[in-house]
Amino acid sequence: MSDKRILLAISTSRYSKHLVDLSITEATRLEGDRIDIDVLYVQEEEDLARVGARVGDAGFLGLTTTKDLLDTLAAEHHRMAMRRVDEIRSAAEEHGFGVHLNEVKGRFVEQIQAQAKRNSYDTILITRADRPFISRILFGSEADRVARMARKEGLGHVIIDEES
Amino acid sequence: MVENTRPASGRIRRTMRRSQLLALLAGPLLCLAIVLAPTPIGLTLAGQRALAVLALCVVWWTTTPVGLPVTSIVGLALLPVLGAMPAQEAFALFGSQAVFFVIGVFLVAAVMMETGLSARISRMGLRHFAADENRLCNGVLLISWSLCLIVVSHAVAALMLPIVLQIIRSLDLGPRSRTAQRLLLSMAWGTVCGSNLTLLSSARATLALEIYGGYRTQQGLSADTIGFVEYTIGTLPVAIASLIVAAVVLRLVFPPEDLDLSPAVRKLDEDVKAMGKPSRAEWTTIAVVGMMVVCVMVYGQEYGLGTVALIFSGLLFVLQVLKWEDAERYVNWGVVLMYGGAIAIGSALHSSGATTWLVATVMPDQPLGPLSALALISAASAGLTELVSNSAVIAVVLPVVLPVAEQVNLDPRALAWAAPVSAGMAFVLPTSTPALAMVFGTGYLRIRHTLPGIVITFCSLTVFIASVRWLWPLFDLPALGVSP
Repeated sequence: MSDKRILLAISTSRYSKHLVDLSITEATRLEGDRIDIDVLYVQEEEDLARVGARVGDAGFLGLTTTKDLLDTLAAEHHRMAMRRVDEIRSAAEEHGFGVHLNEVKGRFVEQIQAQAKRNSYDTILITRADRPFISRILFGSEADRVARMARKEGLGHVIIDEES
Repeated sequence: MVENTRPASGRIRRTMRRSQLLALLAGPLLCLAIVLAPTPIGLTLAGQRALAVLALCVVWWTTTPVGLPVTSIVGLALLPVLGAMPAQEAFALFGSQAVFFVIGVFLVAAVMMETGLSARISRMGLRHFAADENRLCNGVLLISWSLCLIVVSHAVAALMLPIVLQIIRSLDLGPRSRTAQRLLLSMAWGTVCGSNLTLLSSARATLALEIYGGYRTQQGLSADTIGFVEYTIGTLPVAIASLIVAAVVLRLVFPPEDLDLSPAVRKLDEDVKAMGKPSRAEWTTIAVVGMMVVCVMVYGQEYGLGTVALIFSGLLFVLQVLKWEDAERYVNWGVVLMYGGAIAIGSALHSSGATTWLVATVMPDQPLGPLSALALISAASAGLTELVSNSAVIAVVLPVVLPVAEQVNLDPRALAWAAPVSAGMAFVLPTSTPALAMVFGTGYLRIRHTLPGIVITFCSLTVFIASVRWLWPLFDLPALGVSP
């Protein structure tokens, strides 16, 4: 028995209650002396940039309006992150697991890669929930990209949760 | 590991996707292919070149590898370069009444936001409605819709979103809350329905009227401008009908959760109290904007909408309620380039005979009846606007369909309403309008939540066609089956 670490990577659009349950199941299965769940909350900059582009380029609203709007959205994403982390924390505490939060801005895959390189993880957990099939076909699957990257670089076993 | 609960600061990067890079190349290639192709019989060389410019703009406006105004600049520059229109004529179209009226429309939005008047109206109105969930959500819908009477709809969405999110926060609602989703969608759909109210509600209507005016001039017909009141009478039935259908759809899709609204009421009370009494700047804004609306209605046709808008925009600066820095901060001046370029391209298509040739070539031997043609054009515009900016829909669709009117015995004036009204029926996809992009950006909504918006589009189109058929003749608006 030894210390075990799980990386639970979530974002505004990549989260499900089922994923939280799965992280608890996985933590229980690992049977370590000490089990920690690191929650990585990625504020996806490109999603916000797209909104900013729509407001500025198609809505013809000025820089101040666009910036205020993006700040409002970023603050809401942060509030959402805190709510979700509270959910994870209360589920983990019931089972005696530690929870640590790291909230970052950037691209989902790149941020997971950076975090996984800094720390050694036994398991990386992500969800496909709320990503429509058509979106995956058209733009590729970020979840699959994470799995490929982790396998290639030996960053940990990736579990992709398919359920919402 | 150190717990970090603050997002790391960082610059938002915008990178071009592979699909956008392909679109960036496809536009000029298509343009070049049309330029190099043999000139078809019945089409002038200038017409062929104008179609080449249109092809590039269609690809770029619909896929947006570059901003909409950038596409307009490129299109405008290509018109004289390719010989579709003399440079002097193309650039002169930037000085049209429509461009200056649009400037006025955005300055009104800027002063309403800068003085805090729009936020005051919204908060006071919402406080009145915050009795139960249904009333609160309907209040958000109605206030968003009503503000569009004088403020451009995209600006209404931008000012309402923080207020709606504040209500959601005060009620401690999460992203799976039906009430939160309904509140956000009420705001977005309220502005979408309201964007069809008046010429101040959206700039696309002004663009449509200018393209229609240009078409009339090219045909050697009288100016025959459509006035502010006349336009509003034509669109009011569909704006009201879409609001009612939206309220019903939202109620059915997002049933109430029996929430205690008292925290939201307390927060609204605090905000209203903190705002204090209306400032001098707010009263001045009410007076100037009120006078502007009256003068646009009374003198708009005589002196031109742009002239009236400029006088009162200037007055806002003279009375110090708006500073030029504010105008720069609140308005993306790319709007002038977008609209000026779109008007010039539309004019080149008409003056070169390109659209007449195009319609004669693609129209079936057995042309449609006027009602069917109007319904088909409206439905196509409504479908296209889900994927493309509504201004771009007008710029692409209207110049091409205006000559259709003559072929199907339809008064082309009807299309000057049909195009902007149907291009405003964007209820489903985040690509359709900034209001929906904003609410999707909150993370609370998915496309499955907005799909019932198709019902609103269908009902709104039906009401529009019905009002053209039965209501418009009562107000001396264009009748079906009557060519000018």
